[in-house]
Amino acid sequence: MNSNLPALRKAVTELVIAGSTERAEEAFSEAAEQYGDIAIVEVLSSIEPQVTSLHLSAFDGGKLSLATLLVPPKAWADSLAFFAAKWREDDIENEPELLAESLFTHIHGVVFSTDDHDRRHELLKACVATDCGLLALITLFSMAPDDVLEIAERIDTMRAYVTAGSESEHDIVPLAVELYHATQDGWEQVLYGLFPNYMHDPDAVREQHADEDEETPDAHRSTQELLRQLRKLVPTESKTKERIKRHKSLGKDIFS
Amino acid sequence: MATQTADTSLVSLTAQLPLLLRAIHALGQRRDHIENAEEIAHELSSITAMVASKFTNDRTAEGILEALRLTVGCVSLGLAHTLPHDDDDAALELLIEQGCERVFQQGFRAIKELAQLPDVAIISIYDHSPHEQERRLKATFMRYCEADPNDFWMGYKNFQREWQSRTKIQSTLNCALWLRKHHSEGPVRGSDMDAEGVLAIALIFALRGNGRIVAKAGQRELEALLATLRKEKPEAEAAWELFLSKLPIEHQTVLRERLSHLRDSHIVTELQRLTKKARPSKSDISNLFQELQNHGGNEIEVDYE
Repeated sequence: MNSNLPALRKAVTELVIAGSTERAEEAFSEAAEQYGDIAIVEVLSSIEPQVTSLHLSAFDGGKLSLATLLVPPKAWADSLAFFAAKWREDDIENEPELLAESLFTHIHGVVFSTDDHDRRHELLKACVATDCGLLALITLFSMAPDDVLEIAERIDTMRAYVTAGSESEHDIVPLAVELYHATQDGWEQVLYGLFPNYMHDPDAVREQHADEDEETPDAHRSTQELLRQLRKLVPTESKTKERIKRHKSLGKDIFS
Repeated sequence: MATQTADTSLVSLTAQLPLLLRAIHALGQRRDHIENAEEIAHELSSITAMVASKFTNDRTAEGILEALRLTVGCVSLGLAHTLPHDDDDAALELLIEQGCERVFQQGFRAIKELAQLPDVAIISIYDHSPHEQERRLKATFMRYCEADPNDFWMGYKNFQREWQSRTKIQSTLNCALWLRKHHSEGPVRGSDMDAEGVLAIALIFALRGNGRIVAKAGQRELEALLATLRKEKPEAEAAWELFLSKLPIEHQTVLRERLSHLRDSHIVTELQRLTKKARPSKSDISNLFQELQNHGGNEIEVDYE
């Protein structure tokens, strides 16, 4: 492969960590002109996932980024694990909607940044293939349980012919439909993840959900609970890299 | 000194950084160094944290920075102290082989030994208090381990120079203690001692020529000395030789060095002048005693019964 790639990877990593995502993008576009898009894909697939996460999340909400367009599905899915790293316990407690909203903006932004259906499907497949990606989608769907149940019903009847339908629905719906087209397994996993009883007894779940009595517990898992779980899944250095210590530590004996 | 400055200007800065830094540079040249680098980085940070909490301040940035400099210096010292030659690669091997903590421990032990050596030839009753010992250790550590990671490192040379000078002081003290113990009128006791004073008194009173050891004296002894000198007129060099021959060889060396300065000193010439004089006056004696005090310091008894 091209000998400049390690240098580019290092430069981008440093720029992103230093907070200069704009300049990291510049480095990308220069490299793209010189070596073609494939070089960027190559670099993005080898950058550490937490750096990718940091970089991509800087471009959520409309700003166009080469990285968003070109990030390899696997690299993106891995980076999702770190999306929750910045969430604070207090924010999960007080403003779960805000966090879920930002997660939605990110996932929606990356998936729908391209018109290429194959790429969308690849992205979503890679996403449900990781624990964090799956949990992230469940979290998004937990924001609109009504719509999820509705689309689930449409999917049950229309199967492969299902479309996103009218504009009045929640933004989640197109994503759910896209997910179903990408991977049926993935869609079911997300659905069962959100409504734990759905697999055994969909009707009972519907009934329970429709019940407006406050005594009845919710049929679906709450956004807050899911956010908390997602936050816990953020890998920490000590978990990913078990350091093998070759020397037994002397502790305070170094002063003896 | 001038030649040394000339020498250093010919060697590049990187060749004279603290040994730890040079070892790390050497590591950077190796292939597959990531694992070792991580290990070393991890160990060094944990040492820095311990140094900060024990000696500087682990709650401020300055305290931690200071601890970092001390860690760099002490590990470098440990390397230099253990290795037979100044060799970056061997230093690196030692770090990988034994781990930074052990190397730091070596450096710290060297500092501890240095701190136990006296830096002045004076013994005081406070020397052995735990508080004083702790203060000395800390002062020695801070002084000889402080190293700038990006600058010339003279740490080990300074350490060696100080080691030499303190060993010399130690032998002076040992010599003085021996003299006190073998004082002709019974061992001199006392928790304070000015070693240089004891040595000077012993050499001055050795002029008497009977080989007796005098470690403490006053005006009465001085008058007795002068009287004997006037009466018996012993030859000075022979008297000193006789005195020195009674001493263990290691103390002889120390005293011979003092003797080379004392031989032409005012007190000796004055004693010789008064020996030849028909009759020394009262003021001659008091001047002589003052001169003796200049040499003997606190070891001279000032009471004159």
